[in-house]
Amino acid sequence: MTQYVTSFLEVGVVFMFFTIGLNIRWGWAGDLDLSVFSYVAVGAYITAVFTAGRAVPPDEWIIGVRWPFLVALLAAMIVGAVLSLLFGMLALRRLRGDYFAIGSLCFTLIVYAVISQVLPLFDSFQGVTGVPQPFEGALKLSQNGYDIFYLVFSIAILAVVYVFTQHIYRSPFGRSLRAIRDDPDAATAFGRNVYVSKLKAYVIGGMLASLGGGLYVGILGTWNPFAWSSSETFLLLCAVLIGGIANTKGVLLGTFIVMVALTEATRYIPALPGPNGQDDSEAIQYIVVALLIMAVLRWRPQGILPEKRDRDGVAGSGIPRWRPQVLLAERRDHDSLAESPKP
Amino acid sequence: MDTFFLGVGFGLVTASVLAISAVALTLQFSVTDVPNFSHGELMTIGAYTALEVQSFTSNLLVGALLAAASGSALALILNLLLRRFIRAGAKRFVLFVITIAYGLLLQNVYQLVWGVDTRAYKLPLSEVHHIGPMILTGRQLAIIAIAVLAMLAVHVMLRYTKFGKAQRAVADNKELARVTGISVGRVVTITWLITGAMAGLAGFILGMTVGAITPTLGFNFLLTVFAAVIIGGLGKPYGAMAGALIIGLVTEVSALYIDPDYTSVLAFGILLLALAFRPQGLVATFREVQA
Repeated sequence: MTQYVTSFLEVGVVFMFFTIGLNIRWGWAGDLDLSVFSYVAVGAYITAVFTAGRAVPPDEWIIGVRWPFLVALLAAMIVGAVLSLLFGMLALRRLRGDYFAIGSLCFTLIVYAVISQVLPLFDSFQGVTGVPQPFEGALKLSQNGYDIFYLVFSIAILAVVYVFTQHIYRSPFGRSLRAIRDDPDAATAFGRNVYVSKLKAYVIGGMLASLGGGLYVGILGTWNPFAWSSSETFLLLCAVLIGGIANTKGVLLGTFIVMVALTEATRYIPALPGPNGQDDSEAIQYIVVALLIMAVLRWRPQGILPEKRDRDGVAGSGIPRWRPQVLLAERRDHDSLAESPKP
Repeated sequence: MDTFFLGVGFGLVTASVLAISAVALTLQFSVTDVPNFSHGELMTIGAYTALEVQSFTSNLLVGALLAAASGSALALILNLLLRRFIRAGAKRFVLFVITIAYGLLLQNVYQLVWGVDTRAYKLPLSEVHHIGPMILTGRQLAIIAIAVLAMLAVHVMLRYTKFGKAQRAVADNKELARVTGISVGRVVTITWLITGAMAGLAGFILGMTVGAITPTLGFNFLLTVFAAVIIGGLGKPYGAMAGALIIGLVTEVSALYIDPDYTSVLAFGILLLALAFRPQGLVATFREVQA
């Protein structure tokens, strides 16, 4: 039972990295991104090739070294950031809204085609195998103890990421990002560069998704392109919507709810093969996800924990009152806007 | 050179399927203002319906009609669903996410009903015709003819019928259309009906040309449809016809020279570039040129 709970939580914590990444791109910057999972896949791949060592023929993959896990995670984040930068520079200059979503899906499918076709680089559908458990050699724990260790390790990194994102949210950059999302024309008039701000947010989101991918491969131990389909993105989408788009706490809660809902949805269905002699549990899970998305958008589009509103009623300008220094900074901003010298 | 024209022949067939589907998508978008991400699933239902029809009649015409009807039915359900959200004041991105969820729902329901295994139609052998340098089977010629007829029908509807005029009015400006006495709700519903039927028909033809029907048949084809639509300019039916021709020919002809696995990458690459540099489409309308 403990083992079940730990492995469940491990996956849950890893998914929180993905949803935080999606939330920065979608909730804060305002562009629905359907390509998050390709950044996860790339992050996982880079981590795998940096820790799994040289490929044994006939398998082949690039790099193939046995570097420490943390270094590999760093490399994954860098590659994720570079990839986000490249796609963001192409797409974010002109595309917004639905057009951007279609473009990002396009990008995902191109990445998927490249991964599955370019043999020397990705070893096609064999994937990378034999990724060692991170820190295993140094710790010498039992399997159960190791699972708990890895869970604590992931939560520690998640905590750092959470503090980091909350810091961005409250920073002037975060504020201008939300201003751009709510009214790009007004933000431009106040001297904000829409393209650069959106690009920054896109890169940060990609970095976090890749970091999560690296942690995920630490659990899975193998990397295979089949496991990273674009439909997983809909899970993340659902989690962000349920929790409360643009609110990081809500997004964490939403991820947890979706994880529980998915496992519970298929628990009470007998594990008998369906009418077509196959395992239908995944299809049922996705049906549940689709219905959840519709229900949330119908009855509570702002999510369980909606984004805070400030006194002026603008979503996202909410700043915790118990932080005086932040409040002061906020007041200065307001003063300069509201109390300009009157004629 | 012979292989080149062989590719052109296949390209025309692919372009025919694409044209029906793309014109449906773009017409529906221009009138209803909803970017429909579940369009692929409307195609898939057509393919599966025709497959089921085959178990009691081998008449392909009946299959085609019922495929179109099933596409219509699902499109109407989506319209009812979306209407509740529109009444509640949902933004366009919410409607877009709703169509994503609807597509996800349908795709997995198909998987529950028909399974993940590849299915195919039982088709009689079709004789080969030489037309100029191209070699096409009778069935492929029929597919091209159906597409040409469908395009003509859309053209006649948009240009010469009162309903087509109303459609163009609604696409142009909903408020003004309402003021002039057009029942916008009815125009939107009938547009969903027509475009759903076209999608279902396209799905049936797609299942015939691909020869492998799976729950993700339409979804896998969706981005190619979007490529044709966006090259022609979202919301412009005549642009979509041109876009379908371009994408169909490019993917099939290039398949002769590069690894066939990369042809979809080529289509998506064209789409990405079109999105990045000319999202209004290759052919600008008169109004856009003036602006």
